[in-house]
Amino acid sequence: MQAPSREAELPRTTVIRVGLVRHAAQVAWKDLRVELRSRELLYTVTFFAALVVVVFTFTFPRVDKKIVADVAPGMLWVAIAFAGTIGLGRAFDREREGDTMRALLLTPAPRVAVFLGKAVAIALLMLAVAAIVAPLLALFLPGATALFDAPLPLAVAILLGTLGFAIAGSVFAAALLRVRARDVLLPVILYPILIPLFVAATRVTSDLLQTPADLDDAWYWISFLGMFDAAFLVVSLWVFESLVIE
Amino acid sequence: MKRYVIPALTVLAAVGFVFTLWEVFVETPVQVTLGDRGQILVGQSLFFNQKIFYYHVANAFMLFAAVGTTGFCSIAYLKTRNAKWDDVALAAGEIAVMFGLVVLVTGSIWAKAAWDLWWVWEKRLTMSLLLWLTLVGYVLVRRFAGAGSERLAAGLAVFGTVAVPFIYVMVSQGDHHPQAGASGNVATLSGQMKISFWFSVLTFLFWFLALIISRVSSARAERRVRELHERAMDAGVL
Amino acid sequence: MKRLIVLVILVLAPMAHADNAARQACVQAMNADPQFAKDIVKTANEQADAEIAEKHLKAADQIATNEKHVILAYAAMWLAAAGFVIFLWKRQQGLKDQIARLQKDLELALKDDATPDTPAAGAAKAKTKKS
Repeated sequence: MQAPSREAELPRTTVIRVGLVRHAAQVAWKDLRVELRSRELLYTVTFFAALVVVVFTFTFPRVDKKIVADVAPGMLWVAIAFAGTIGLGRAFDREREGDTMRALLLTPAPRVAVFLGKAVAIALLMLAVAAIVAPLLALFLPGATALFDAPLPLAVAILLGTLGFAIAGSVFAAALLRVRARDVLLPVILYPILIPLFVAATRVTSDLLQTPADLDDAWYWISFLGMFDAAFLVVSLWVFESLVIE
Repeated sequence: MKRYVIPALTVLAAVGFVFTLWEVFVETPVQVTLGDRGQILVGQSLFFNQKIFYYHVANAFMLFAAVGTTGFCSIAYLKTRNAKWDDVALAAGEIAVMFGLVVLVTGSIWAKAAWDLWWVWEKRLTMSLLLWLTLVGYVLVRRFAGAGSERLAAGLAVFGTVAVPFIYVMVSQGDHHPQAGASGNVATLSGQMKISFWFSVLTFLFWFLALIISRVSSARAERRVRELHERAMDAGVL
Repeated sequence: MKRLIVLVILVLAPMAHADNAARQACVQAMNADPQFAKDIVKTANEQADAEIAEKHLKAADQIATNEKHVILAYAAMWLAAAGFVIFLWKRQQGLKDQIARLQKDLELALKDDATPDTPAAGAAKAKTKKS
């Protein structure tokens, strides 16, 4: 909260010179500091994601080594998506309750920077969720430890997947800030347009669980994820300003 | 002009419907391919259930046209902020939901008739489903997001448009289901089938235009009433 | 004569499975005369083909004459179209009602204005209506 207000006192020309990235980093850092003070989202959302995994393992009781490559990726990404949706809603509710979104948008920081900062903060939260969910799956499901045999593609896929989710999610969560039905409308908007992301991410995860791991296919879908993220980022930068008016 | 255009298009569509039905069921033969031993090659023959094709694919064309219109008009609306574009986008969005429903239902019925399965994860069917889901989201947002929903929905449409090439790549790369049957490929249609099919497309185009023009004019009228209401309120007349 | 033997063999075939000696005899007979063996294979093939063809025919017949699904599909299209037209019509009716209500309100408001009434009161009324 403090970083933007300090910036507000600076003359406008200086502010523009310090650049988009710095502003975005400041917004993200503000969000993270608020979060680290209470750790409300971190604890509740990661616990929620862990619960989703546990519910999955109970509702699919007969997962064995043969089908784990088909089942585990879906569990992982559904848990991440659910946790991300809830985290997004709560993170922006916070701004609404304190009526700080307007203040944030009124700071001389460009709106695009506000958006980027928010997206980064959400992506970090979702990464924390993934860091809990993926080991849990490996623990609970037989043969799922193969996930960590190729840590690099897994990490890149999770990074790109959560980033894409956070980018599109931040745009619409911010735009839905004043809408009464926002809790249900957010997934209604997000999930249909994110289906390519979910498919690509589950394909990577599934490739890693094959024996032997199909790394070529995994990297193909990772590049797909990268392009998807890039396209959504460009659109978000263009659309954010016209969608979020306070 | 609107006075004459909508009825004219409706009449054209109605005549077209009757004509297409005649063409499809009377003029167009089914095509049965026989193998070298005189048996019927199920995979390469077009049976009576292929008649669904003429409506199914024509509707799919209209679905794509409507989705494209929504995407294009949403982008134009976000760029120009002219409410005219938004009216067209909304009208096309609702019509796309209707056409999409028809595509999915007829596709499902056709799959049952031809392949004995109610649903097949076939490329075009998958793509239609994903587009349809996005458009349903669009209409839901328009209906329930309250003030400012038109910008929100336009944003959704823009994202949906950007996702289309990715969906296309996804379904053509990830399509590990068999492409059963030769039926349904427009490029390989023979003589009379081609005529019937394109007549059907033309008919549905008239139908689509009639619907979209009337829906747009209705949306415009609603907007005008709303604006007048607000003006009357502001002026203290009401 | 050959045909008769083939027929006998075909009839006996299931039993031959069980009876090794008979099977052995058949195999020997077939090996002894290559032409005879070819004939057997040909006849068996023809019979199998006929069966397959019949199955295909039946399946094809079922698919070819399946009118139920075609009717269903066409009905679905018309239902959706009718539903959409009804939706349009309802919207139009709603719009008409709205306009009528506005007109009535307007007339009432104008009648109110004819009586001595301060503009402030009118504005206040508008405020309450808005909220």
